[in-house]
Amino acid sequence: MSATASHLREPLVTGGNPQLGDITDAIVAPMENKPSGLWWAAFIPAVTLFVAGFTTIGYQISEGIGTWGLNKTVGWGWDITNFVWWVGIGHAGTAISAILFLFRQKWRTAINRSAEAMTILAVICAALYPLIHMGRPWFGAWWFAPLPNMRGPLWVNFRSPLLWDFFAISTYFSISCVFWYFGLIPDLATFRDRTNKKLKKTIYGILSFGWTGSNRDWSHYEIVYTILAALAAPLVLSVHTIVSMDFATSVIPGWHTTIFPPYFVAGALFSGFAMVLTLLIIARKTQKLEHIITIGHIDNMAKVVLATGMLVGLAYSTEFLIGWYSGSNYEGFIFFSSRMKGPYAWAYWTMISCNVISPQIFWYGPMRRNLVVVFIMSIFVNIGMWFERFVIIVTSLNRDYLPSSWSRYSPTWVEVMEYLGTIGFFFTAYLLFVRFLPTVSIAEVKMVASWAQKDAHGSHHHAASGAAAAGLNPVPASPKEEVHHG
Amino acid sequence: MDGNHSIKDGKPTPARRYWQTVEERVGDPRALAEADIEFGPAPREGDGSELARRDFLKVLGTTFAAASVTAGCARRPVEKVIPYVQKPEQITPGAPAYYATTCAGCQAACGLLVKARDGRPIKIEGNADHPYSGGGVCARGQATVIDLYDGDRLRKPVVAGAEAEWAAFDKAALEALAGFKSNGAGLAILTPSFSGAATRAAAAALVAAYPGARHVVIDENDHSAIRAAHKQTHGVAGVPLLDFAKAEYVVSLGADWAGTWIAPVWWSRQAAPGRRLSKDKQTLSYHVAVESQMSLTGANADERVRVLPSELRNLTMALAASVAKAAGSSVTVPTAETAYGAQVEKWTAALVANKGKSLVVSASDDVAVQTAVNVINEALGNYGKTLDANRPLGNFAADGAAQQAALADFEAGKLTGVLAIGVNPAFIGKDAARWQKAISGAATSIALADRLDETASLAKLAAPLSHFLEAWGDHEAMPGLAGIQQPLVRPIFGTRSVIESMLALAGKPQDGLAFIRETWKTSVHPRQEKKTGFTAFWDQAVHDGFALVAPAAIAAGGPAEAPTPAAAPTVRAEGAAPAAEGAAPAAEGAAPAAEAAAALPAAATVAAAAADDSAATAPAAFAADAAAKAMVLGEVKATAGAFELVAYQSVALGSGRAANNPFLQELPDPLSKCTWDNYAALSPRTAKELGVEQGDIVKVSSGVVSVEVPVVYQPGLHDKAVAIAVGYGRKKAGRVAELAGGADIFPFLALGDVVKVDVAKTGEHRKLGFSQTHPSYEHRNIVRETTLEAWKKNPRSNNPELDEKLSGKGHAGQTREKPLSVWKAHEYEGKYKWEMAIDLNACNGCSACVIACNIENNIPVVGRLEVSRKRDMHWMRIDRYYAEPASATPAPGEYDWDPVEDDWMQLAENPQVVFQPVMCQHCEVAGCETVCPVLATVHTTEGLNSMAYNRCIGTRYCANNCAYKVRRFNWFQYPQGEMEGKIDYDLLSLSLNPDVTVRSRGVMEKCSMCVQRIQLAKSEVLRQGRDTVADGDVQTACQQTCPTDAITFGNINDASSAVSAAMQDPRRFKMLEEINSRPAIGYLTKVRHQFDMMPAEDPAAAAPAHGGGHGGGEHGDEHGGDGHGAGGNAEKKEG
Repeated sequence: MSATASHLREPLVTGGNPQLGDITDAIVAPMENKPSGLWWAAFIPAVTLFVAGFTTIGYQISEGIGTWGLNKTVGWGWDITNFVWWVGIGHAGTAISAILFLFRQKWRTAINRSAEAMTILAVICAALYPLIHMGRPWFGAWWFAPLPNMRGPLWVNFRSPLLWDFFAISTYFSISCVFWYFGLIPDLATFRDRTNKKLKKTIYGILSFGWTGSNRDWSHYEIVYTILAALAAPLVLSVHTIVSMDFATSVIPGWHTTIFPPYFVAGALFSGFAMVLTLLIIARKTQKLEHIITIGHIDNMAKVVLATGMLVGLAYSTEFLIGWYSGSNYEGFIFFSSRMKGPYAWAYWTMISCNVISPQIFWYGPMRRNLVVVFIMSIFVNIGMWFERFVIIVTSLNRDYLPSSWSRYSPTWVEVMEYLGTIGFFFTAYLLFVRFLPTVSIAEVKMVASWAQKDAHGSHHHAASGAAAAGLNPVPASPKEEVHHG
Repeated sequence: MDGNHSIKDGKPTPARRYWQTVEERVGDPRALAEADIEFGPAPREGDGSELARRDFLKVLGTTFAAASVTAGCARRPVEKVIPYVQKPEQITPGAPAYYATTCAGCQAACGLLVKARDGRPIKIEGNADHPYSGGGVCARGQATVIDLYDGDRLRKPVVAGAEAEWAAFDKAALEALAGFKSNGAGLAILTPSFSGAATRAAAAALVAAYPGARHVVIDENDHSAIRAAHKQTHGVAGVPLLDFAKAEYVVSLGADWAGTWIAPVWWSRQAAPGRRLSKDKQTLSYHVAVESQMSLTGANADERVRVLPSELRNLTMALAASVAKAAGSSVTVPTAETAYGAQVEKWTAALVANKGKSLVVSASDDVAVQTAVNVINEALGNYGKTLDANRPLGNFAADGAAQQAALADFEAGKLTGVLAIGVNPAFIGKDAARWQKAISGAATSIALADRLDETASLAKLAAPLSHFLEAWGDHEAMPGLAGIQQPLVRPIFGTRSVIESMLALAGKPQDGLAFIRETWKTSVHPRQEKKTGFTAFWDQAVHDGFALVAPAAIAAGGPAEAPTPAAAPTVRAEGAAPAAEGAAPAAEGAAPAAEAAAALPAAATVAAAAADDSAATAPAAFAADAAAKAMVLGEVKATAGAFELVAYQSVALGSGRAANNPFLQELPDPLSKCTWDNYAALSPRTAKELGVEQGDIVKVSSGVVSVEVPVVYQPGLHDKAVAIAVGYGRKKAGRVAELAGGADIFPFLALGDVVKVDVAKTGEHRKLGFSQTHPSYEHRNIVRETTLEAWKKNPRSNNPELDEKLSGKGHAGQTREKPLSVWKAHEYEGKYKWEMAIDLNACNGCSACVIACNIENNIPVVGRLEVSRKRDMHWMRIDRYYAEPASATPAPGEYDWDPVEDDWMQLAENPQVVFQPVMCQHCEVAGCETVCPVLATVHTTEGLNSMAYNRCIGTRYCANNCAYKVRRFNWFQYPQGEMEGKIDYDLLSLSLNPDVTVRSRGVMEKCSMCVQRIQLAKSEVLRQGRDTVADGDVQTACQQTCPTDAITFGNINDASSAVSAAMQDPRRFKMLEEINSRPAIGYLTKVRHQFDMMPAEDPAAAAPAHGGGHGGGEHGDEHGGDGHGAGGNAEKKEG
């Protein structure tokens, strides 16, 4: 690899030439120091939202789904919108950590840890909705599982996409957790070694599974990490494919769409990268990690946002094509009338503006490197993608086949509070993660520091980076290719 | 009344007494009282100072419930199990018993068969043997069983403002009436029409006990004008029996005969065959409706003209003059100017062409107008054919003039005492305010009512009347049709029947049943033709619910003139002579009537015969001179205002007597689809001009009287009219009525013959509970319509055949090709595959099925708020669509992606209406079944899509994926929703059908095709040793009650079943069949005479009152009657 061999590629770690220790110090600093005022300023509102939102969930479960604004025609609203939105957000984490890993994209090392944490938290938020949206969650929670029972042949319905969801989400969550945790082990060991406090040492000692940093450890680690990445990578595609089947396999115009699987995956990456951008732009600033999570990273991610945004736009236009080409009056009605001009047209146009029009700004390089622009754009995309799910779910349901049953839907305070509650949970947990675990993979970042890259072709004298390089080093790219990267 | 006798056969059990304890044997009063309690004495409870046994359990339960709530569980409803300590006779736990009785929901007195389970009446059904109502019952009739369990009923007599025992009440009442004992001239006895021999005898005894007392008959549905007009023209004061079955051309002048007028179930039932089509019957009767508000009659009419209420009189007179002239009648009808000359000419021609098989009806309360209607029918020779003046309906004896006289005498102080029995004049009717004053001002006022209603609450003494399912009574719905009102349950509260109360107040207390038997023995039994003994006759009558006998002299229930149809028209039954005294058919008298009477018994031996030709009597002599005299038009008293007020009866509430019935309050109005409210209906154009939208509250005022009501758009309503339903705004009906609120419109009616009002915006808005908000079917292929002409040419007109591969089976038969589907097809190789066919030509939208379904299937009432959130729970709904004008219909090959949206102006001003009953379609490839993760909704081997409620976890995915949106979700534990505190659920739950699971919150539910009835029929067939369930063994609740038999249900695997035949009708289509869900419900294309409500030029356009807003040309070109309407569009797309 020749990060510095080619001067067209910007270094992945900037800020002079930080040494091994400097990198470790920088990354663990937030965990070893007392939390800053900024941290508290973020944490307190987040916890407040979290508590308020989850109290609302308690209220809703005790009173009934009737506390939501749903009705006989629109059976899903904010609940499934939020579910799909959160699952989508989760996707970027796996995409970054697994797919980019397999494709040897070294810039991932600075962001994969927090992206994976984001994945797990987002999946928790997402998984909450299928649970609480049920009329009788106390039964549903375990009836979903194909458990052996005493009811003879009573089984779950393997034809139901909701059941596939159950498998998809639970698989995704397990793999994500394992993958994330596995990547944490060397860093947890670093922690264990740095701390003097007995309790901390014990806890981190247990968590790090007796990691010694030996060559043997590293070679096992690299192999398992690669296998896990290979396992996780298809999940990026499968989870949202299956989520999209909740809609695609139905008979409702606007849902019954074969393009949904790729469309949803693209949308998920789109929103996931946007959420990673939102988080990292804040995190790199507050944690003083600008030299590790560099402008170059932001630039790369903005490009992904642009690309996936275009894919999403293509999907939207394909739907219109099919709406017209299918000759189905119901289908055409949904796209050309209900969405564009119906009572929820504002939501539709918000979606188009945020997801298709505004990301076009990223064609212009300086915009991708302007943190303010990128941050605002990332929020736009998050909003736009939320509306995409809302538009798909609500505008399809509210005016389906029989005009006699057409009706409107609007959320109640309960739904709004619960949504805010999941956001509160997400940030609460993320802020705790920032406090107690390294947000950047210490070991991996060291491998991509410029001095490590310089030596990469030569002797592997650092045990850690050397072993890593053996596993991680991509095929040296030709200078021609690097021009493209630049 | 002896509580232990068998009510099934009416035979009292032999007087053997059994005793359980010595106390009982020796007659210890306390022990006797306890022995009389059906379920034995309640377990001893704590005295309140300490924790009793049950309270301890409650506390324990509460603790667990609280723990469950914190753990995130639903509060389950308390369940109570009451075992039979002593098994009542003739009751097999779990087996339903059916008893025949007579409906008292309105004055029509339909025959009922009431289902009882474990001693509780739980479901009303029509008595299929009844000559007129047949198996049909209306929505209100269906809901009467809920009234029985109404917690707001009066439970005990009220004396001096406090609850009292009956003995105390009777004593106080007799004391209060003592002053009238010798001279009753100051006493007015107010009752509804009594037609039954015994009831009338009891009333007569009461009146006789206070000599000179005035018996004033007050009916909630007053048809005095028809009565008075027939007295003039035919010498018979009565509402004639109509026969829509023989009427091929019907003109209704403001009479909503299909919805609320006189006996809508009878009329609908009669008219239904004329609307059916088959290979052998290729004609349709023709119905014309002239009205202001869109009624059920207008919505189903072939031709409808919207007029102002004030225009109806002249229009009627003009029609009378025109018909009289054209038909060569000797009667001269005063001419009147009308803007509808062209229509009148057209109708005249059609009526004359249909002489003897036409019918003109009017709802006018003007005797002159009604006389003119009689002149029309007489000129057309309809008397004796489509209407029978000699057999007046029994329960319409109210006489407006007598009421006015009584009111005047109250005001003059001549009447000082009032005894009101089962009437509520203080609320119902235009003179409510005057009655209120009369009753509250009377020195003596006693009211017997089912609750402390507006009348009873004014009276000094009040006592509760039993519900008709609790009390013996009788009816004679028309001369010769003697009906029994048989109780199914002992009074739930301490109530007393009308008969027993009247006898008690007459000072001759007697058991009601004994009195009825006695009276029937002397006055009904002798009129029978078969010479059976009384006991056999009585047993048969109780079993059947009615007996057909010779029409006796039927005094109209009071001292008002009451001609006997069997006697000469000039002979009047005088005074209070009860029918009982005219025991034998009076054979003397004028020739035609007497002949008729004599002819009857023979014909009446067969139930059906009463309805056919042989039973029709010869027309009474028509008094042309009297008619001419009676047709002098009075002066019209009108108030000032910009709009004319149309006070109509809603299908759900009628006059408002049942305003406390939550099922009726929640029944969507067939046209507006609004629940729980009355409202100012405005035409969309008028609403736009006034700048108001649906739900905006307007002030409707006419000088001194004003109400504030929300606006509802009503296409088809006259632009210069505002229509508001009566019967709402009751203050004293109970908690449900209070929740419903609404505005009382009766006070407007006192202001004049034509009430004009001003409508002003108030700026306030209310969210209304609509079950359907979208008015149009958007040219979608969901309702199919064609014209008679097109259908004759092609029976598949506008109903194109889908590709057979797609549909899986051809229309032509039972061929089951492999359907195009990714799923393995269901085979239905067993005996049964249940399907249903609904004839859109027969359905008139009356909504009886909705209530029948609600009660059969324990569907909860959710309240206005939940309905306004679109969470109505009705499993069965009737989709109502207004047809859009042809100009809005897209050309072939074009799409219409622009919905009518909120712009109702896109609808025609006088649109045609389609009613489409929709319930679960029981699809063979059901969207719901594939998506449920836990298999809570599955397909049975008999083609039903069934719900396993216990398994449902409430993901609502099934409802989302249902193309027909028929699934209903329990968003809350509904009994604990908005209705809590409004309904006495402990009491109401007695009406629950134990065969149907009561769903808890979080569970999806929907139509099960009355699977409980199917299962019962299957076991019954097994028990009888038969092979399979055949037609007639099982009827769904909706099918059973349908007055027009629009619903056919049965086993499609039985090629001879009615449903198999219906499914092969070329008119049959399946809703949304192009999505390949393959529903089990088939619909038959609606066939109309034309795709236009006003085929001729619209004279209203020329009338100055309308400002020319809706041009005749606009309507004139619509559709063109070439099979090219909305349905035609579907065909093009299909191809």
